[in-house]
Amino acid sequence: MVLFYKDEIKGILEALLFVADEPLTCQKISQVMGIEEHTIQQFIEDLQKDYDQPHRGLLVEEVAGGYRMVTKPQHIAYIEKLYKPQINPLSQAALETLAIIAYRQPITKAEIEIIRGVSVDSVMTTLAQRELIVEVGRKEGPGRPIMYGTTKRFMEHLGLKSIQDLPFIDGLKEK
Amino acid sequence: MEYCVKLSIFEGPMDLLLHLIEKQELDIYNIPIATITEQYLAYLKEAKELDIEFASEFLVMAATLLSIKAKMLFPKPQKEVSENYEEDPRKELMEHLLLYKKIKEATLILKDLEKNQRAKVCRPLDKDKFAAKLFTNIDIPGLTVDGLLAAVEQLIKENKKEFIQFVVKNKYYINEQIDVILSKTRQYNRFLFRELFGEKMNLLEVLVTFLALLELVKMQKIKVIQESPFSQITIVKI
Repeated sequence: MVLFYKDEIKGILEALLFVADEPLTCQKISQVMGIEEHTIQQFIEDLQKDYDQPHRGLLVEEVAGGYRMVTKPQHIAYIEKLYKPQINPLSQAALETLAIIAYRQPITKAEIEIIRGVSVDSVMTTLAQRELIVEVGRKEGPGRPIMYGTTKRFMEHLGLKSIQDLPFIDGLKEK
Repeated sequence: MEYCVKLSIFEGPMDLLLHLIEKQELDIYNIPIATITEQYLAYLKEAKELDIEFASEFLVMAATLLSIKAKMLFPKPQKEVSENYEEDPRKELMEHLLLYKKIKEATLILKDLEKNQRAKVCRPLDKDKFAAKLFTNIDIPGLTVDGLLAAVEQLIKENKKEFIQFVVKNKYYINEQIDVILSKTRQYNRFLFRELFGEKMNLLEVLVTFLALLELVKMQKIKVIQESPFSQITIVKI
């Protein structure tokens, strides 16, 4: 156990969140700082409160099982003015396919095609390239087709804390 | 004069079908199949006239609709109606449409989430660049570029081996092997194929001997007999 001043802990936490290129879990921060996880949790909440002030442009969001530092949504217009948006939003076809995979995973390509009524080859390639979906196994049965599921990137892309965080739609999840 | 007609583009046959149903506020649980089939086909016709390419899946759906329509037009045998529960031919399509409708709902939710999330930007960080920046100044006392170069040159020198290439003389010729086989046939009228190959023969020798054998068969000097597959091969003098 390392002894820190309270403000120092918050400072280190802020620094770690600043440099991380993926959401940091409490476990990871705990390993790096040598402080217990529940303590870190408290300090993150404290940090979030600090950022809540209107004179701060950032916020610490909980996403994909971890925490990361992002800009506040109300400033997006200025950021876009500074940098043209680099990531294009997903097409309607891609979103529809992603919705099917998200709510009915694990699912095979053939099963997706039945629901959508069209071929999904190119859409699946796009989604895989953007690391939003991944092969999660094979279905038992003829041909043992590949089954797909969503990734951590998917949660980051939509700002979900976990996959259970997806809004409930009646009758969509069970097969 | 050019006309500009705007025709909605649909994600697929399900999308189009759902659109037609919702536009007219039809009941998914009780689809008027004749009406919907007519409208569906009308859209395809219109799209075709406008030279819009549509996927073959749209035609599959047209066929499905027509097939359901036909099933509903056929009178049902009296027996079946009274005795068994007759399944509605629209049931499968109805379930599919309901599921697709829910997927559309989910798509809207995802779109909304994506939009919200896109308003937040995180730092794009190149890990390698970052690491390189942190560890640029590696200082090892006494090391100079010239010293390093000399060490590498020394290493190359030590590892340089003499490189000798061997050329193997071709020791086996078909005509020589023909003579070998012929002399054997003069000795014995018939002998086993495998007697031609000694244990110490290398691949090339086996190959050349085999070619010689084929040559002799062609010249009709010998005959090759095999009683059944994989059995011993016998060579007989002609």
